[in-house]
Amino acid sequence: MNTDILVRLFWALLILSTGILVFRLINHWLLRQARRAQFMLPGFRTGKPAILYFTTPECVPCKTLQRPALQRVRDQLGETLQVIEINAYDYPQLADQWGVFSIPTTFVLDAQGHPHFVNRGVARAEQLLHQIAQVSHEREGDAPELTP
Amino acid sequence: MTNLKPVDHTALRTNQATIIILLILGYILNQPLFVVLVALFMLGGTLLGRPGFGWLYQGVLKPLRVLEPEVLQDNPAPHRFAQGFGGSVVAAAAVALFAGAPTLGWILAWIVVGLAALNLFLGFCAGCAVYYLLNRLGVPGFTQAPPPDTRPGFRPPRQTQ
Repeated sequence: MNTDILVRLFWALLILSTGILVFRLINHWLLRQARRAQFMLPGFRTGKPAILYFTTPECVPCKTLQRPALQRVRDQLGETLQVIEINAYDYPQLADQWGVFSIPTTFVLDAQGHPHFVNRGVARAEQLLHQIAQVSHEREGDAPELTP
Repeated sequence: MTNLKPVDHTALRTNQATIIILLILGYILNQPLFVVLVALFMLGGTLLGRPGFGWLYQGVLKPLRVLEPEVLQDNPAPHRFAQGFGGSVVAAAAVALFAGAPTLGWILAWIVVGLAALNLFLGFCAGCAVYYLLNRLGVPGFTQAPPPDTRPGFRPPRQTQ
């Protein structure tokens, strides 16, 4: 009985892992599309990496988790980083062009505005700091490593 | 023709998440009753014109402010069709499981899990896309066209508040 459950658990995990892999591949593709399209970003200034943060006024995890996490990142990096907060209701087309289908969603952009990472759902401060560090260490002119 | 109404997509997502969890749990525990339960709620919800597990959101998660509404101008009919279609597949899975065809039953259940996950995580409603395709083909009863600026099956754009 227990063995049967374990075997089924294994299969369930295998199927779910495959699903997650497909999800990551789709994310990768969406990120590539967003990078190719080079949409206008309100408030973006070239020269500094940025976090593009999609939110909505009613989003509770945005207020309780994502905003404090972003504040921690801001406190740590200060003026070397720009955080662009977009209300998805005010810029519905922009949200769709960037492939935002859940809130909060954060993108980590390099100094030229190319997206390198996307976090669907709440992203922890450590995760964002790690992604920004990776973006900052890439030499100019290098092809960005797209990671969903 | 489009007859847009406010549709709370958080209720739809709660429904999809509950369906996924219950079907996977049913598979792991090898318990076809979970499949029967999901089929009953999905088909019952379709008859009542609301998400089968929407009560979980309306009665528990929304009052506790665990989840917040995301109301979009959308066609309710394709979502109802999608749920009815999914519910029928889950019902067929239950029949297969009780009729001694577990492989077929669980494959059908996993197909529904996959389609619900597609909707939950990527915002693509396969059942809605089928509905809009039937609408384009002029099949009677499928009267609604996709909302403006929306690809068939995808979530409609957010409106300025």
